[in-house]
Amino acid sequence: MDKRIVIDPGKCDGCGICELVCAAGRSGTWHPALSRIKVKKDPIWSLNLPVVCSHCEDAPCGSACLMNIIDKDYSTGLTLRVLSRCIGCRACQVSCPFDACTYDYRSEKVVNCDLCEGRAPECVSCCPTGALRYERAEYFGEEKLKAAARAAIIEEAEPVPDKDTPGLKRSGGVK
Amino acid sequence: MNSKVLFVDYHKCVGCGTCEMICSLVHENACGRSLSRIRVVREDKMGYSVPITCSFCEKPVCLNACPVGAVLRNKETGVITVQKEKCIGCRQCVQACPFGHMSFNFEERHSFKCDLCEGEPQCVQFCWKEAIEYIPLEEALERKRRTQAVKMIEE
Amino acid sequence: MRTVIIGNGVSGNKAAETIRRQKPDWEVVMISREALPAYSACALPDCLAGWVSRDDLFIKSFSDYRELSIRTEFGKEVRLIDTASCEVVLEDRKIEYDRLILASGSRALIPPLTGVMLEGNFILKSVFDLERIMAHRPKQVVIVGSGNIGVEAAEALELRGCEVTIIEMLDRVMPKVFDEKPSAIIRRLLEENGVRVLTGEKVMEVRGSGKVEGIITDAREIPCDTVIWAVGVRQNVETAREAGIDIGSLGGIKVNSRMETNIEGIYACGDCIESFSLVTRRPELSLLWPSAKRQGEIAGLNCSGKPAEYEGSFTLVVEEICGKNCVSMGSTGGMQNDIQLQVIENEDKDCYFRLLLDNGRIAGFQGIGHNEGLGAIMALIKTKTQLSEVKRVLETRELLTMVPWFAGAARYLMGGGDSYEF
Repeated sequence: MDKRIVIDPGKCDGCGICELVCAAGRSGTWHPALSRIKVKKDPIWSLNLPVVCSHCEDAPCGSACLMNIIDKDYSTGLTLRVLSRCIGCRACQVSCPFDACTYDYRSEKVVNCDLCEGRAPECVSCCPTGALRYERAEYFGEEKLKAAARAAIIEEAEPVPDKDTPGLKRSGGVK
Repeated sequence: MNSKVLFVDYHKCVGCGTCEMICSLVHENACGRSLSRIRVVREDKMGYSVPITCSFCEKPVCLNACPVGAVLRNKETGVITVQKEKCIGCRQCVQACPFGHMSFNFEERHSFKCDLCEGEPQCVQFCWKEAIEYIPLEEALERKRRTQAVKMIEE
Repeated sequence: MRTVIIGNGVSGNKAAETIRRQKPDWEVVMISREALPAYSACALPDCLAGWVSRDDLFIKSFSDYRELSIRTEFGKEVRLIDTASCEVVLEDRKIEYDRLILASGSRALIPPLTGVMLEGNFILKSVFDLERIMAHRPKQVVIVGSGNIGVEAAEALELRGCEVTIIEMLDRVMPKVFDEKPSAIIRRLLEENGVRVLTGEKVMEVRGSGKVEGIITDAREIPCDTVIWAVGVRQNVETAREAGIDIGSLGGIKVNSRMETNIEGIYACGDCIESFSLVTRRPELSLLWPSAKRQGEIAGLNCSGKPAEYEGSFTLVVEEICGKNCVSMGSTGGMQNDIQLQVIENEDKDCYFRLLLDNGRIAGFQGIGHNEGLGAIMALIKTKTQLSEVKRVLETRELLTMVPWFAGAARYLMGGGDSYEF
């Protein structure tokens, strides 16, 4: 299984439903602070950047973990943790470039997205704009390739980004 | 700084996919579209096929998107490549490239992209329709201008 | 092909696992002084505090070694390394090697002062040390040294109801990783938590008859029943030195970026080596778990025929002190006091951070009370990205959606204000 949550920030409108359903589904409470997916919101330009664990191959969180509980599970392809031995040192949280680790203040342990244990991720199912998709990363590239090709033919020039590719969204604009 | 570019003439491309076979063969020792850096987008219903290569952007988003500095620009040649030993497989570069050029090798678990074959792009060598050429930027622009001029006169 | 690994810490274990993955048919032998499976020494203070059980400290069980086909010679001392005949001589046998990896780590130092042999003097480096401290039932504790171990042990014992004093010889707490201002904040946090902190003070003698009754510094006498020495470590390199392996000026085994020593076929990794800093490229002793782990991986890769280069060690310290996240990464002002580093500081309500810049790139970061965006700062330090580029993307938001992780660093780079609170 090599599917990941693929994010298109251009389509995200910052509703935060993903955070709520993740927290409810995985942490048992509707508190966004306990969500494994987080939407970084920029108030001025209404730019919304959802971030979630990329399940890296050679994860920086795993390198930093002081208890060696973070490892790649080669059967599922996910970067998983043995939470029972987590001491809550937060070295992983500090090492993740994407801020994808979440500190569970109740258990004082750090958790990450586990793609809803291999089922269809809740956040993807509930995303109203389609900014979140659950697919192999290369399929996202396929779409962009097609868009680039179309643009090239139409414009008879070097490929330019299609109007629907992620880009700036100024405040007040609606896609 | 290398001033040559991969110049594609979409009208000449017949969609044979030889470039994809050669590219994957040269880089990965196996023929397969998913391992090729150059990708031909085929729209059979519309009747066109368009090879997409790396644009070697001046502001490469793939380079910035990489959190571990595995995507680097060679100072002399200007070529942007992925250092696969450093790649942590987060695929941020794949998500970042606006053209969908950056790909991921699912066997070896790292990203990959066009590296211009160290100066002698093989897709150029093997394209029997000469749809893709490796020429100086000025020449490419000149050709475009001519094509445009001809079109304008014909109208 | 047989690889012998001396040491059962995280470095030796990572080297062993790496070799096993690369070469399933190679023989791997691990030798260790302690007759225990590998455990996390970092979590010893957590165990002291009662937050983690003794069992959970272990990162391997004995059966894990069997499953990985690793032959173990635990509870044995290495007498000498015979590089001519390629043999490691133990007390009861000799083991031939084709490749040798030295991951012998370091030992805690106790200065040779009067009274350090009295009952009640401890170090905190191994599970045995932990057990001894707990069996002693400390009540009035003096901790000498305010590094990671000292500060963590102080918090742990204070939580257990002990009266704790930290004595630090230098002018501030955690001097290796925090500069004056953040260090002062940490000191305040410790004191608010009931820990007495003395800096700029030197321990002269431990007083007592039979057992520890007090400690004498150059300024005062402090009654106590327990002394925990957390003043530093010494590399375990004596056997290596005798075998003709080059030792660096900082006291660790000299290795190149492939963890190779001066003798072919012999590698070294972990606490026992002289490493070099990723940020400054200068030699340093990086006595941290993640460094040891990574060096073990590099040694294992090169040993098993897969060339790999070490990018350099990176300092990362994360301490939760009185509920506040105290983080130091990269270079500090103290580490590079011969280079002019630009300092950008910000103190806001209960939070503080400082960025240390070198020629427009982040060289280091120290923060107190900050939990977000730290990974982005770390990535910027490690990739040595020019901040002007990051700031441009953040200011104009141009292409930010394609590099979303830059947003994490916004609150530290853009001078505060709501517009960058991602």
